[in-house]
This record gives sequence, C-alpha cells and structure tokens, in this order.
Amino acid sequence: MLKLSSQLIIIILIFSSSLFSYDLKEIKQKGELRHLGMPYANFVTGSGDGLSVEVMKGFAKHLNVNYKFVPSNLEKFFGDLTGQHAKNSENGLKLLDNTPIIGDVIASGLTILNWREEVVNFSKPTFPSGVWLIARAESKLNPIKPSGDIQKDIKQVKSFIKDKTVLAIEDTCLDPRLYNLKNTNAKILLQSKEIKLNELVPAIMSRKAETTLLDVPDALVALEKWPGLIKVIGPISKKQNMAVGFRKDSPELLKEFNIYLEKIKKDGTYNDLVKKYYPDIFYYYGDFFKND
Amino acid sequence: MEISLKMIKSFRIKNLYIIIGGLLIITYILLLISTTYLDQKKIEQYQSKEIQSHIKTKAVTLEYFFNSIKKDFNDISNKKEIYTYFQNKDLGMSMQYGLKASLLRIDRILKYNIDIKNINGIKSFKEINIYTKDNKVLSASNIDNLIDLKNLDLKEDAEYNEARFIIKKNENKIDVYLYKNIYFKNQSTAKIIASININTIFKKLIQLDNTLALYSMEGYLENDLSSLNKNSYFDINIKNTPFILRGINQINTNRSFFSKWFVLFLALLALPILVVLYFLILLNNKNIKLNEEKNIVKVMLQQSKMAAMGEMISNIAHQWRQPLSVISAGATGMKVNKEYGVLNDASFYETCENININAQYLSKTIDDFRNFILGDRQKTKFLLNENINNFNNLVEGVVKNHKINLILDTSSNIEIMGYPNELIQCFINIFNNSKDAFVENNIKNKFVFISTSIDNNKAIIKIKDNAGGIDDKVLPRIFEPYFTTKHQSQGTGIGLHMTYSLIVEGMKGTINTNNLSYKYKSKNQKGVEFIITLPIK
Repeated sequence: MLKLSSQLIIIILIFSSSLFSYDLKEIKQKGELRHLGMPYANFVTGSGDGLSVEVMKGFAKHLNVNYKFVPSNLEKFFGDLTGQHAKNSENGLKLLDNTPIIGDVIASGLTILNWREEVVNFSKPTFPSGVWLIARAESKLNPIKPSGDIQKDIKQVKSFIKDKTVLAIEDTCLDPRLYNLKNTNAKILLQSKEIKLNELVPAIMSRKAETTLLDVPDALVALEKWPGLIKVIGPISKKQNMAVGFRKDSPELLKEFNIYLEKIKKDGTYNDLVKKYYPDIFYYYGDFFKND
Repeated sequence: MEISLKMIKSFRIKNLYIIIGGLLIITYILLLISTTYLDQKKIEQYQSKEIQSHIKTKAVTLEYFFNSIKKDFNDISNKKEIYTYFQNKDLGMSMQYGLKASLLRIDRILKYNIDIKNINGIKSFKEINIYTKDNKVLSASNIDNLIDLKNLDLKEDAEYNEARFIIKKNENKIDVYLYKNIYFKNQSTAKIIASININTIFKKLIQLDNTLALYSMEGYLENDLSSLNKNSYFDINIKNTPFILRGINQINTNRSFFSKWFVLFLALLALPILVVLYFLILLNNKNIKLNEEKNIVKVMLQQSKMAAMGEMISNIAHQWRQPLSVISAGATGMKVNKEYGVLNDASFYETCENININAQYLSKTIDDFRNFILGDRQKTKFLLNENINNFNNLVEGVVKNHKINLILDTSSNIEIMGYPNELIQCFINIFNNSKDAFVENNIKNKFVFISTSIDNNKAIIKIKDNAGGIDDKVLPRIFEPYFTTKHQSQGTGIGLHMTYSLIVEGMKGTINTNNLSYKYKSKNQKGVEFIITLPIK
C-alpha cells in the first residue's frame, strides 16, 4: 500500500510537473524570456549589457520572444528560477522556502558546481573559469612560479596562505569548502552573499583582508580595473566551467539553448562577444573557444 | 603766296602732330609695357611671397603634425597599462596567472592607437613596438611586421627621456621613427618605437602638388628635388624636428594676367602702330606735296591771270578804241551839226542810239574782263558755247593783233557743270600756246579751230591750230609742270600744266593732245590738236 501510494505520489508529481511546467512552449506562448542575473564582472555589467545579457538577448530573438532582464542575487537566484530557495551545506543540498518564480534562466557567470546541478540543469559550458587567490600589491605574499602542473600550483598557493586572511563567500564558486581551505590554516573571512562579488577587491585594498578568492573572469576584470594595486598569487582551483541554469522542468528550453549556443559558436558570434567582454581569456583558456 | 606758305606750314605742323601723336602712342605703349612688366614683377614677387607664405603655412601644418604625433606617441608611451605590466611583473606575477593579461592589454592599446591616432583621417603610425631592454619584443601592434631595431643604430647608453625622431635610410626609401625609453622605478626598462606614416601623411596632408619636398640630412623623404639648383627653392626648418620643408620657388606665369606673352603682345602692338604712323607720315607728306602742287597751280593760275591781265588791258584798249572813237565822233558830229543848225531829230536819235550801243559794248567788255578776273571759283551750270563766246570776246584783241583766224564750230545746247572761268582760262592757255607757236614758226595764215560736240554723254571740245605741231619727244611732257620749250622770258611752263589740272582734277574731265595734219581751204595744214572731254551735268 505504501509502495502504491509512493508510486502514486511520484506519478502525481510527474503529472503535476508536466501540468504546471513552464517550458519552451509556454515561453513562446507568453512571448517573453525572463533572464535572471546580477551585476557581476563583465557578464552582467549593470549598465544594460554584458556577455550574458547579449547572449540571452540573442537567445530571446532566436526564440522570437521578447527579452526581459530580471535582477536577482546569489542568495535568491535558485528560488527566483525554481520557486524554492536552496543552499549548499556540509551535508549537501538544502532546500529552503518557496518563492514565486520570476525568471526562466540564470545567466550571470554562474559556475557549474555539484550542488547547483541538483537544483538546476546547466547548459553546455558557456565560459571557462577557475579560482585565483588575489592579494594587495604591497602584500608580502609573492605570486607563485608556475610549475606547469595546476595541482602543484594549487598546492603551492595553499601553502602560502597559512595564517593569512582570505575573503570567501559560501554557496558560490568562492566557497572555501569547495577547495578545502580549512586545511590550509588560512583565516577565512566569509562574506555575506549580499556583498557583491565586485566588492571583494576593494575589500582587500581597504585592508579588510590580505587576500581574496576571485574567479578568473572577475580577476581579469579586477586587474584591469585596479592596475598595479592587486596581484595574482596563483590558482586555488582547477579549471571550472560556467553555464546557463535552467529549471529542471524546462528541458525543451535547455535543449533549444544548447542548439542556439552551438549555432553562435559556429558562426563566430559567440567568440566575438567573448572578445568584446573578456579579450584576455583566450590566452588562458584558448582551447575552450576553439571551434572544432 | 602767303596763303600757300601758311597751308604748307599747317601741313608741316600736322606732320609734327602725327609724329608727336605717334610718339605719345609709343610712349603710352612703352609705359604700358613698363607698367605691365613692373606689375608682372610685382605679381611675381607677390606670387613668390604667396608661395613662401604657402610653404610657411605648410611648414606650420607639418610642425603641428609632428608635435601632434609626438604628443600622441608620448601619450601612448605613458599609458598606465604599460606601467601596470611592469608593476605586475615587478610584483612577481607570472604570465600564466595574470601577467599575460597586462601584456595583452598593451597589445590591444598599441593596435587601438594605430587605428585611432590620425591626422585628418590619415593614420599617424604604421607600427608601434615595445622592446625589452635587451631588444626582445614585448608587445607589438602587429607581431608579423616588427620594426627592425638593427637598422636604427640606437645607442644603448643614450637616454631618450623624450620622444625623438629617428630618420633612417633603408635602401631607396627613408623611414621616420619616433623613439623613447620607458622608465620604471627610474630605470630604463624598455623602449617604445613607432614607425611614422610620413609618406602618406605628407602626400595627402601637405603636398598638394609637386612643389614641396620633405627633406632631412639623410636626404629627401618625399618628392626628390635634388635635380633643382639652389636658387629655385627655399627651405623652412620645421621647429623641434630634424626636418626641412623645401619648396620650389616657381612662379606660375600662366596664372598671371600679365603674362610674358601679354607683354610681348603689347610690344608687338607697337609695331603695327609704328607702321601705321609711318604710312600716316608718308600720306601726309604726299598730301603736303599734293597741296603744295595745288597751291602752286593756284598761284600759277593767279600769276597766269595777272599776266593775262596785261594782255587783256591791251585788248580792252584795242577793243575800246573803236567804240570810243565811234562815241567821240558821234558826239562831236552832233555838236558841229547843232552849231551849224543842221542837227535834225532823226540824226540826233540815230547818233544817240549809236553812242548807246557802243557804250553798252564797252560796258559788256568791262563785265567780261571783270568776270574773268574776279570770277568766284564756284561750280555752276553753264552753256559751253556761251563760255567759248566769252573766251572769244576776251581774246578778240589778240586775235586781231596777230591776225589769227579763230574759227568756231560750237553746238548751242551743251550744258556743263563746272568752273566756267577756269575753262576760259584753259582755252586762253591753249590759244596762247598756239599764238606763241604761230610767232615762233612764223606762220602766215593762222588758223585756230574750236569745235564742240557730244559723244557718249560727254562734251568734246577740240582745239586745233596749224602752227606746225609739237616735237613728238616733247609732246608727252607738255602737261608737266615747269616744262617749257620757250625762252625763260616768255614761258613759265605752267600754262598747260594748269590746264591739265583744271580739266582733270577740277572738272573730272580728260585732256589729250596729238600732232595732226589736215587740209583746210585745199591747203595742207599741220598743227596740234587738244581734245578736252568734260562730263555733262
């Protein structure tokens, strides 16, 4: 009986899911694609443009629907997309309160992380990334000498930060738990997710911490933005990927996006957009942008 | 005589006026040419100044361009991104983790500046490279087209704090570079060098024609003017650069209104004027001569008339003698008859009538002579036979004295438009010529025939004598002035010439003469015949 009832619940859930899903068909019917994003590096500049903004605008056009930018933030992203907030914990994914769905995709330099994959479906990787340790220019920490092996380089960096203050943000790609920073004996200063990622570098420059974690795209922007004031010590993570997040019940939309992504990669549109917002990334992750 | 001298004087004065006028025209042309030439010179000077000013303007433009390009170069070399790279490098950052981004940024800046730095749309730089201190390429606007440092002969120890131009001759072309050291922490860390797009800029910005050249100690950068001599160009140093702008001092005479051709044209214009002047003087001289001749004729006519007057007076005396004696005899007869009481009325009236007739005759004779002597030279209509009768009256005394038979055969209705007194004068001259010939040739039976007729709408007057004719050698010359076969005391050589002038020029007729032989009263006669043709009114 219990087995029957649990099966029934699953069927009902599946049924209800298909009954209330908001996928490609519904978006086309409504004629609007809602893009969830927050100002972050050159993905969403806050000035109405950015790599993610332009890609999603192109996708909306591809779908022949209107584009709508829906501001969000790291804490709200998943709730705004799925209708239920979620966070990473030491025990894994933790689902939180329900909330109205206000967006159809998250595209804002969102790094693919394991726990995130439980909440949303990711598109094919849209951007390469990694996490670097950044220090103030006058910091006594010296950048590592690359060994040619990322693992060794990470190990070397981790060896440097003992007793050093490191800014990090949980539930993001800068989550110290992802990189076992506890074991480094570094002084981790967890920042509220309400703090914008863009504020991490100013924080170390104002001596709130000696170092901070930054993903590579953001680090490249920061190096350009504050030339000579910060320095890259070395990598904290292996190569990561960023992608666009979709609701689990929007497989058709995801599928269509992947088709669109493939198309703009092939016709060069995508690389042109990347060159526009991250011209230096080709040097660091040249292979990622090669069109086979 | 006095009048004639005045006229001659007037013609001489006229000639002087022509010469003065001509000289004034020539002076005017010369002045015009001089003024034109001076204007031309002024224009050339103005053009030369204009060209100099033009070249100076271009030099200022070039100075502006070089300053501007130097400033741009300095701006590029001072870009914070370049220092960021050196800072990041100094901070120990590795290419793999961040430093490369700084370098890529410099690459982008160099490329960007190649694209945007321009003068009037013409790119200022061809390439911009940054080299390390040991001459390794750090960053380049185009990695495939690097500036070769070996050609530049840079002095390693030299301090190039400020951008400076380097001019290098590479094979046949001269390249211009801007060069500067990059200092970081007071140490010369790198060098930045840019090749200047000098040729294109000069061509498009400065050299609108081929009269300008950019020159330096290394030679001509643009537009080789080495074939010109030193006087045909002038140089303007372009401040703060090693360049000289060389401009050809070429006056464009084509543009000048007062071209050399125009001056030549003016000069040539004087030539026909001189020719015209020459012919005017020639014509005037001819006129003077002609008028002199006319005046001479007039004088001669006058002289001739005066000479004739003496003869006329004797004629008058002769002609008056008989009527006067008739009048005297008539009056005396009436007086005697009255004293003797035999004067009857019939005798009285007859005698008075006779006296009156003779007095009328005397009066007419006086009128004839007066008309001839004082006659106005007015063209009038007159009957030819009346004119010949008047002539007959005038020469009646001579005819009788010399026992000449004047035989008239005249038509009564030939009307002529001309000068009647002058025609009488012509008849007298011809008659006198015959009279003299009769004397000279001792002719006993003297005949002079005058006949008139109309032929081909012209009046024909033929006058012939039997005085023996004129020598055939002399005949063609008898109308020439001062030509005479007579002794100085008798002939002036004017009579027949005057006759010719009066007939031909005065009345538009003709006069010809020829010797002829003919029979009159069964006797062979030899003489000369004058044939005068006059147009009928």
